[in-house]
Amino acid sequence: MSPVYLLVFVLFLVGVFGLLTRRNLIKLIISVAVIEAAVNLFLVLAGYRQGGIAPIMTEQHPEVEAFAARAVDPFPQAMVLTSIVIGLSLLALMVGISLRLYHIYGTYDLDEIRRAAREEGR
Amino acid sequence: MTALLPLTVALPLGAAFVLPLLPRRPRRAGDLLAGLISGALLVLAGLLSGRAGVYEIGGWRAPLGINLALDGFSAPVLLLAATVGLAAVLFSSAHLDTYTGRNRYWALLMLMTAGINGTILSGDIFNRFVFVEIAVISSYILVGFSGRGRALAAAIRYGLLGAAAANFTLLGVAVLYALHGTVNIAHLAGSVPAAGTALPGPEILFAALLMLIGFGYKSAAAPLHIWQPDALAAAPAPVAAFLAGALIPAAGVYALARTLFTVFGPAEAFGWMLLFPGLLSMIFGALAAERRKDPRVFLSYQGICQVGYILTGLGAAMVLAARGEERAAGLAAAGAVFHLLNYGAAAALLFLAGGTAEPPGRPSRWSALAGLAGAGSIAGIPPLGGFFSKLMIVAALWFGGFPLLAAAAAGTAVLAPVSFYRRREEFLPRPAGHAGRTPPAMAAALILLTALVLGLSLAPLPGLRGRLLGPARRAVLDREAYAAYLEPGEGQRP
Repeated sequence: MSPVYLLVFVLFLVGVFGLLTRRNLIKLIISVAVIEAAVNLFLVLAGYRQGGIAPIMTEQHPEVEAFAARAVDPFPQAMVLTSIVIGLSLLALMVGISLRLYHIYGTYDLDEIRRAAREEGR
Repeated sequence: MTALLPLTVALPLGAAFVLPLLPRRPRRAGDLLAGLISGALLVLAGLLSGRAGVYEIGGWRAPLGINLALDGFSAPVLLLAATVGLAAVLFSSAHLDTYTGRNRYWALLMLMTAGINGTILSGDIFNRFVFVEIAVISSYILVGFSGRGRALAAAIRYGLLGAAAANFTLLGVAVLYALHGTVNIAHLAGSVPAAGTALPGPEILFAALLMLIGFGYKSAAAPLHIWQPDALAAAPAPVAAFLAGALIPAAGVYALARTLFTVFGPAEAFGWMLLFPGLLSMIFGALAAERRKDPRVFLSYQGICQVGYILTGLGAAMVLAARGEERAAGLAAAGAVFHLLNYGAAAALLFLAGGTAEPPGRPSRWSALAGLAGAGSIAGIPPLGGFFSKLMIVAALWFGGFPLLAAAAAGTAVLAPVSFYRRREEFLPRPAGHAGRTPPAMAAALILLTALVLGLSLAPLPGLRGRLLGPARRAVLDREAYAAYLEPGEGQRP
């Protein structure tokens, strides 16, 4: 187990810690982004190969077998791209809703917002 | 017949991109398109019910290609989602007059439908993750669609924790890929060894725990239920019905069951991982519901209690299958799938019936009666489906050697009718006497769901048992059958 995996796990836990302890919407959004970065890093690492080459076939690598033995795994990279797109759309949505909430309640504190919203509901 | 499978995703996805482009006038153009697509999806789900098979997209075989798979477990959930979807669309067309951005609402609803259908049919765990995200991101927006502070606050809490939960699922997918080099469910079913009564390896346990957290959140199982009462109380009524009746059953419970049973295989450890949140949700949901004033919040907590029953049934099936007790495991699995369908249909019906009392509706006596059918099924009153599914779960627990769990489940089941009876004035719409008139589209939605609730009640009859519950039981428990889908020449077998 390479120490990089440990670092990825620490990053993941930092995000989870932030999500559980912070109440400010912006900080919560950042925490989610940190978790996502950790997962994406893990995905790239899953296909990593020491001294590997980019998984693009060119004239320099005419032999398929030799190429496959050296190239990094492209599949996790495709998954990471998808995951980044999903993360981006979520981020945009969350920031948008946070701004609307700020306009309504004048605060980014999730607990205060929920308290005010509950008063309204009555 | 399997050539129809991609249409269940392509039709709503295509409509979702066309709908925002439609002109604002005539207003009914968007309603018509959404209605037509949902109707077509219900016909498709009806044609596909009772069938099994696999569709390879673009003709590419796994692991290079991706596939859609239909079997005895996914077909009934697809039918549930299609029926609830059509009911939600019909109800929305009358309910939406109080909102602006009508075509955007339809687009989001169609996107969510596409995501749910993709989740149910997807044959690999990464694509399923993507489809789940398509469905839930649309649902975050729809929960806050009214734009009121309360709805937006519910939406952002749901969304933030949901995004974190999604990353747990994705990490689980990544761990499985790193271990086995594939994300195809059938291939994983063939290569992840079933642990049985032994403890699975630490990395498999870790991956399973990540999946449990990710999908447990979407199932609103305690202690990951915190988003659900707020979201269901603040969402527009048809959205709440669609969330409770299709998103939670499909993207939550179904996805969790499929992952643990088919990908990881029977193991006692996974069984207890399901039994713990199951039992907690069941008891906590029933107790918490007692103390809530808001009728929608009451129904939400009752929903958590039902999800608890389903997870308890699945967990018992898992433990018993790992111990090799086939009969009791089969009863528990069939009961859990049956309760999943009963819960979805009845919860959607209750939220829609309650919605008839909101502006612009004036509920008639009939909408209160429809709500009563839903309440009866969830509360488990004898001739209705919910009674039989709870009975099957309790019996499986008893005969499987969990007398304490059986007693807890039976005790909670006996309390439910009392609880619903005491709250009848609140969650049922109060009929407006002679002035009461439910708009025809709303009435059609209620009739559709009432028919589903009553129809499901017939499923345990001896002649019909082999059509729904038998195939469902086999599909949940038989891992080899799912793996065999991808063998050459076997793909189309019934």
